Amino acid sequence: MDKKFNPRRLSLARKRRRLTAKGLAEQADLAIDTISRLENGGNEPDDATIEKLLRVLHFPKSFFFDQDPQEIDTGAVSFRSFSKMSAKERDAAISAGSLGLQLSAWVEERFALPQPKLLDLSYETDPEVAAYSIRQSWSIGERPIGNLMGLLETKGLRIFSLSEDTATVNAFSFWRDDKPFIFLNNFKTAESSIFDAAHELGHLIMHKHGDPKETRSAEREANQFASAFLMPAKDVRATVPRRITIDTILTAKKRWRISAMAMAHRLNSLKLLSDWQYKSICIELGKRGFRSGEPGGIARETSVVWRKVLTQLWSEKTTKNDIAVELHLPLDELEGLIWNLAGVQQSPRTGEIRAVT
Amino acid sequence: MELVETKYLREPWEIDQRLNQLQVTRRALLEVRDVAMQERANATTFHPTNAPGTFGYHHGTWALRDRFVGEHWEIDRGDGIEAIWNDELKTKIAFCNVDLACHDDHVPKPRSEKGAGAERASSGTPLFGTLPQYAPRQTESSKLYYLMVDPDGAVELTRPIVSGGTFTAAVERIYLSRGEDDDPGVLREDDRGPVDNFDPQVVRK
Repeated sequence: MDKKFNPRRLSLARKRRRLTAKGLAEQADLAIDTISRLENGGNEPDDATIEKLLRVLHFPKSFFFDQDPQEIDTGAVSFRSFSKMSAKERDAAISAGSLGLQLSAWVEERFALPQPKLLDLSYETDPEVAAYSIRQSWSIGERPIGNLMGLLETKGLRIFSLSEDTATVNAFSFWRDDKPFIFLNNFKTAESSIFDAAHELGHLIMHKHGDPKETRSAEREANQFASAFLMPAKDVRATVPRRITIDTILTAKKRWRISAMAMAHRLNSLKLLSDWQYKSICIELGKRGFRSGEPGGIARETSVVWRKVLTQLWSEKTTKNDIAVELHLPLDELEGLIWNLAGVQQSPRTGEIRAVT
Repeated sequence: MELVETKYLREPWEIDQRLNQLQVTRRALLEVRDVAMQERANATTFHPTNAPGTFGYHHGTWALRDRFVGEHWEIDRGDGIEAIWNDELKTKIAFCNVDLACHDDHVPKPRSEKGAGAERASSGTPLFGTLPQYAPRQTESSKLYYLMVDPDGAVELTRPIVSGGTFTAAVERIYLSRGEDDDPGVLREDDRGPVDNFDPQVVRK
């Protein structure tokens, strides 16, 4: 291999594995200075050092000898649940984003995907108006959305999954080369993922030019946008009976494909449910298990784009393994990026990470 | 004892006018019903059998006071009746779960027996208690109304005659909602189904 060892790729792989430099040094039986120098590009590692790193990181050797990864400026990323996230979790998610960009570039070299059709609503301060505007521009009016992922893909959003088995990383999004990217944690319930996707859509169109770093108001706006986008006010008012009980919530949530809690919140924000009723319904929903999950929930939405891409590649006898080899990625990282999106049912278990060399 | 024909109020304009005289609003009374119905719905199979009724009664009574106690109304527990009292009108309103509300040919029956206090406060024993459309003319200076809510959400504000632990007749019945037009379990859906079947185009280069 004539190419030089790429220090940025070492940092990337380390962050994907949620390791600090110190943690990597300890597990690889190397000095922490060695890791620092390697990541700063001060040293070229010898074969023995590389072997030690590969043993811990489980990335193929070729991964470290490729060109610079497309790095993502953390300041330009809208994170959902950022505040609860540790730096390690954030770095791991961002690194997944970087690998996602690599995969995206690979796919777009081979396939023409829908062009983005998003409005720039960064001037809009009212999330209700923003949600209404984008619905109008997409000609879906007040109707409920039966397949949000399909809609977003049709409108040119690039969607990847985050196989982060943690409650603190929900989703994140960013613009890159005028293309909107969304990464969704598919360990959440199907309803949560739908809301997360709509939340990120809100960031992408309302906070395109601003600093989308998590601020309370930006998060609140994105939540309000998601709520209004998924449950348009006029449709909700026209559909929900005047007298609302928990049964109303459980029936209505199926129409708009959102969680019971999100449904109750929307009804409260539209003043169809008084504060007192809202509080009482939330307590009751909590008792019935709707705070921690979504009993009797809907089936997970899957990606049409990924299904089409993979089907075409399979017909050409190109497997995921082949893609992983071409991208110099471990298979688990590749699968993680399209996790559940293309109907993949099982998750690679921790400790069964397979390296492709 | 002179009998009077039960007065029914069914039309919105007459209802609102009458409620205005009673210094209550239809909207707030329906909110009380909503709270009670919502609490009823919180009962599960694991709760005692009478849970829907007790939940509804406790929270209905709470909501009645929550919505009205203030300028005209005050909390009242006289005669063992958990109610609100309007001193100016000498009128009392209490919450009550009933079997069936807003049906002319049926005097709503309370789900639990009414005590002697309620009997005294209503008017006493009527001579023709089995004839629902007539009730003894009431001469008492205070009047007792019940906000009667049935299991389907039909609700009326009614001044009943209490006798033998139940309602035997009514002096006045104000129909607030028949409940059927706002069934909480049924969405007003028409054919505006969801938009789906999106087909993003993916073309091999």
